[in-house]
Amino acid sequence: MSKNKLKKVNISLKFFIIASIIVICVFVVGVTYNVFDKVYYKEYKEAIKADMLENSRILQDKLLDNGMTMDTPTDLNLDIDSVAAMLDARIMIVNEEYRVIKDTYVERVNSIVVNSDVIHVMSGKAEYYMDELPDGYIRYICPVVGEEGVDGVIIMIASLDEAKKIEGNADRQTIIFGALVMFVCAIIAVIIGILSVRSMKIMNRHMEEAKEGGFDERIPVQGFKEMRALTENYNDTMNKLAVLDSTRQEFVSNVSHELKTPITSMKVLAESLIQNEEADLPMYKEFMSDISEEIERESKIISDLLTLVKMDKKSAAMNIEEIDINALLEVILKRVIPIANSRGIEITYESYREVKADIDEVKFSLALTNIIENAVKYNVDNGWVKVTLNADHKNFYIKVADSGVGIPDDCKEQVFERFYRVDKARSRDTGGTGLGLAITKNVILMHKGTIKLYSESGEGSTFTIKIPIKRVES
Amino acid sequence: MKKGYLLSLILIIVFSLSGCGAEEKATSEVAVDNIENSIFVCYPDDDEVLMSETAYQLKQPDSIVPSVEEVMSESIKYYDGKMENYSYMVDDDNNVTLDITIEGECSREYSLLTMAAVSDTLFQMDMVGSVKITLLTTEGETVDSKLILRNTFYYYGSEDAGDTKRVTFYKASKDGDGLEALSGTLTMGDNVSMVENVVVKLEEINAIPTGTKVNSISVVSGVCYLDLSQEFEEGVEDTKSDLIVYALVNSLTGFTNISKVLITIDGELVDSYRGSVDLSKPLSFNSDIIK
Repeated sequence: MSKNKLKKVNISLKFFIIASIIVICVFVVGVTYNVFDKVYYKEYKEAIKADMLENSRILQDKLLDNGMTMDTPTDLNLDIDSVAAMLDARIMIVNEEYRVIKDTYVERVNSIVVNSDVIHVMSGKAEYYMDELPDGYIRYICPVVGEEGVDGVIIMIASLDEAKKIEGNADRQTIIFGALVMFVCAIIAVIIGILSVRSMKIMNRHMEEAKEGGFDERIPVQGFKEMRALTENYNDTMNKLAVLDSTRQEFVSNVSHELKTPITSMKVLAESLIQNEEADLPMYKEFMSDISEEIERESKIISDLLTLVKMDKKSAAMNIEEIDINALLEVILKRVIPIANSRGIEITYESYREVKADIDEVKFSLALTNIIENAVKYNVDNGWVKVTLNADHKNFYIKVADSGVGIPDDCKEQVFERFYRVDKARSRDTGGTGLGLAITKNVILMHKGTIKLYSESGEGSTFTIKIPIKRVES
Repeated sequence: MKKGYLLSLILIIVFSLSGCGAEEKATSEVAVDNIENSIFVCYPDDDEVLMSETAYQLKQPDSIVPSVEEVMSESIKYYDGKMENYSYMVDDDNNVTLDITIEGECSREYSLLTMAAVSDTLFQMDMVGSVKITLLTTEGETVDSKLILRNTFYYYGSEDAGDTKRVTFYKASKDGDGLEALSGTLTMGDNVSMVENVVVKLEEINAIPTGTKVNSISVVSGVCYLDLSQEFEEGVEDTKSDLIVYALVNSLTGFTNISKVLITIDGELVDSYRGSVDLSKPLSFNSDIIK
């Protein structure tokens, strides 16, 4: 069966299991039936052969005692007829003249036998013959050995009809037995079929309930190992969904809060202007410039949010080109250095080799700018920032270390979340929107890279970025 | 639809398995062309009688004496010098008396095979009645002498041994008030007795119920124990039960070794066959019932 066919099988698993078990049972019963048949027939034949051997020995003795005659001194006719009747056989006694002196079928008495096997046995060339004739008979030819050699030959032909008849009866019995076995098999098959799908059905019912009840419903872990694994996976997925849901809610509330803050400020500024009747032009100018700043902030938040939303629409919009990373870093640093210099922060750039990589220049430069700007923003005056570029045959690495305030351990995970701030008061002063690192992380993930943060509070922090040089589309 | 396929698959498997036990029966028929007036010379080998591959064409097929001479002079070529010479006499009843001189040692077996071969060759001529063969040594001593009739030699185990025998059997007459005697020729086989052949023949000519099979036959002390299949109980249309039973009994008691017949059905004694005939004791020939 090809993979495609396996994907969509239009029968129920229960039916498949039941049908498979029944097919296997039919096969097994059929095979055993045939094997038994053959074994039985063979055993019956062996039994007949043994009977023939034993009775021929008795007849040989009697014939010798009687001097190879049928009538005097003892009438052997009855003895031989009885043996023939018992074995359902024809018995012929041939004397040394090759003349038939006894035939239980009578018809050949006094005939002279011409047969190579009889000649062989009579002349001592063969000890005896025991053959199965093709039409269901066993033939046994043996000598009657007297004191002076072979005195005659006994020919016995036994029919296997009886075996076939008993075999027929045995057949009937095996058929009844086979039918019984099949019936039991069918019942067992149905039970196994029902049991094997039962846990699946229970799980399905729980899923239906969970569908209605939101993300808090969990399915009890029970049943077979596979079913338990399936349930656990389902529950894990549900947990993830629940986390995602709460993150989304938090994000929405954060967004509203962040968007509201500048507007509240503007409202307060505008209202105080309206209420202050003595306000003069310089005051207006001052207040209006504050309002303008707030508008600027609002606009920045909105544009950052738009950037994030765009990135969330997956990497469809990636514009991948082979870019010289050294040059890219130099351009970014040229933009940041004036800001750093104004606070006496020294930026050093170290490149170990030329790196060219497949990246989206705009997005990647945005991500790097965010990291490097953060390193400057959250630095101490007269501090330092160190940017290093290195690469191996697969990946390139950018390390941005600073002498800044550092990030406490308990915040390391959250710094990449939207609107998360380590020091809320401080970052708003520095003009951050709380989205920078979230954007950076998104960009790096879009490039199939990783970003790691090493930091100790008060001793600066180091971001390490690892990006594959060759982009492999999945 | 899929279920249908699976079910038919199961059925196919069941049927193919049930078919496994059946064996094919091979039948072989030997066609013998009776070329008129041609003789196949029979001659002895180590332990059997062989037959020449080509036929000898009789020059004077209507006259027995020259024919015997032709056949014997043709035969002697096949004996590799073992048959030194021969002399023969034919009497008025076409009985042949033949003296054959054998060169060198003549074992019991060689003597047997030579007699069988010579008589078989001569009996191919329909006009030959009996053959009396005397085998002599070169010194003129008699080794063996036998009067041979057409069925004296029994080629046991030979495919075309096919000796036939004339038998009389009985069947209910057309008006249904007695038995009438019929006569026919049956082939004697190695493994099937003439008695059984007669029962089979009676079934064929509808003297006993159709489908009746012989389970077993044995003759002990003049009593024929005949076990028939249950189809025998079904009877023959428009035939009285005693006519069915005595068709069997009278036919079988025609054999010299059978004086009484005990009929059983599937191994069971029957007190009352179809409500009229007592089969629990052996039955003898019944002459009163014959028309």
